Amino acid sequence: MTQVVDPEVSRAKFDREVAAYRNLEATYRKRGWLLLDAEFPEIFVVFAATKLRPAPIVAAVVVDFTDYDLQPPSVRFVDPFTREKLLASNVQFQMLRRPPMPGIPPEAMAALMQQGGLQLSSMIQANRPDDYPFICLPGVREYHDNPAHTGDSWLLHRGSGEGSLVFILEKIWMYGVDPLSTYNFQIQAQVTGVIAHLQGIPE
Amino acid sequence: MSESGNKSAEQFDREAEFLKKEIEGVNEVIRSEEKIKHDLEKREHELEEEARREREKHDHDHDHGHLVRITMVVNGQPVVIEAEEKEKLTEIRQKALQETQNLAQPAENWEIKDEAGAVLDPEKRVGEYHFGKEVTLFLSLKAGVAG
Repeated sequence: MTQVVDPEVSRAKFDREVAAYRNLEATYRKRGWLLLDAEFPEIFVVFAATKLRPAPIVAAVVVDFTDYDLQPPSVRFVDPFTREKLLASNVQFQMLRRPPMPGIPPEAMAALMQQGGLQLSSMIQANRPDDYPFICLPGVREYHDNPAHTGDSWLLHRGSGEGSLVFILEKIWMYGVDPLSTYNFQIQAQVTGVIAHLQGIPE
Repeated sequence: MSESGNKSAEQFDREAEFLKKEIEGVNEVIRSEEKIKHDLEKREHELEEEARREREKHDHDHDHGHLVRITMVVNGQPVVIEAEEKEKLTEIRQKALQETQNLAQPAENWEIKDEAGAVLDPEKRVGEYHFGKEVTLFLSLKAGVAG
């Protein structure tokens, strides 16, 4: 990514975003957000699903503020331990969104979803499985750079609140992490033999 | 012969003098009692006035409800708002957006959430949520529609 804006301007705005985050870091930590590194232009955050016990790390992102805020931040999913960018095929994380249905009680909504009567959309998109996935959301650089969204310029959103660090992290948490409440097990048993009870073996 | 016929003029004078002093004594008591009455009436008036002021103050407090100190975090930026319990959350939201200059988006696009991320009803009043004396709430911009 190219830095066109005076780097000091982007850096000042980056520092402001980090300071705002640090100011409420304890609250965000309770949600499972862990900011591990913030050095211009990148912020590295991992997300733990706190409703589960033990609480697993379910996602990690690098938010890149290069050329901010002439450009919105870039968001890439990374390995939480190596910080390497993940390909779409390696991202085991979903951000699901349902269509708005005002007035429908949550229980009825859940039943509809379970029966497949409600089409959920995935906010994590990729052109190919071997491509880097991106969050399809106004305020994220990869969304505005996508040829499908040339009509929705970042400059129409800039200064509206979208594209801030907290906005992006909250959307990842809200659509991807917070709904996680149970582990999903799939067990396949294979019989490999039989075992005798040792005390039952006669002379 | 009457009893008075046995008294001398000096005796009558002394008795008259005695009664005169008695009357002066009674008058003194009356004046003193009147002064007490006046003081009591004055105190009664003061207490009535004080009671009226207290009543007015209580009615005023009741009308306005208790104040709740709401720290509203707008897109990560905190702003403190002293809210009355009768105020609707939508009014608090508007104040917070104005104070933080977040006016590019309509107020309805900002969801009010608690620390755990639960969405609060903007049409409900502050008092209905029983926040206590202070609370931290979050204004979270709804995700835009992606194509």
